[in-house]
Amino acid sequence: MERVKIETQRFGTLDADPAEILHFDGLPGFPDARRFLLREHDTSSVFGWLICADQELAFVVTDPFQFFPAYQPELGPHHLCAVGASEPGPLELLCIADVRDGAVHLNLAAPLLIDAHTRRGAQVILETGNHPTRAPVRPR
Amino acid sequence: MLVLSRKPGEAIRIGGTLMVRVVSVSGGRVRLAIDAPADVPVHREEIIERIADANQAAACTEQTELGALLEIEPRSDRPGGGTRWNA
Repeated sequence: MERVKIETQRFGTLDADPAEILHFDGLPGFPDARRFLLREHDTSSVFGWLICADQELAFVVTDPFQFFPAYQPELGPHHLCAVGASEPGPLELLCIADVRDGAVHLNLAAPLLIDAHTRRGAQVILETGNHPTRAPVRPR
Repeated sequence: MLVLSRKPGEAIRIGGTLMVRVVSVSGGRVRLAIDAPADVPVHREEIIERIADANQAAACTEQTELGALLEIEPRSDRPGGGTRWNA
């Protein structure tokens, strides 16, 4: 399949296999952001990038369990439906990191679910557990 | 936008699968009972707005300084060895 070229200001031109592209039905605040790529931040970093192919938009993302081992997101059927999964299977869960002024916080209230098979992703809003939108990984 | 008046106990149906019933009205507060299929997310609007605000705050511009990230190590190791970013 022909590779896809994605122009970004921060990352330059990204060259992607079409099979790499993750399909979202928008995100809260970004309803038109539909196609994304996951890329590493640095070979040794636990952080990665979720880069939008439709507009100039990128999020720092990470595996929240590395920082919050007790984090227990309760996923219901509507969360799984959002990525086309009929049952919990090869789902990846990542959280968006807010990096500002040397401080890093994770949004544990609305993690990203990605189904590796369907390549569909969604930011799901957890109704239970009272998870914070700004959990400090590194306070300022 | 469609605007309807309903009394406690009365309901509206949206499509074939959604029903919103007024349970009670008191002190400027309306309690609603919502029947929706398991795959339909139902959220208070302000929660979605809070997540939208958090996303907009976290969205990186070309100028966002990310030096802090490189110094951060995870607090615990997960078996299986982390995320494959380019999967």
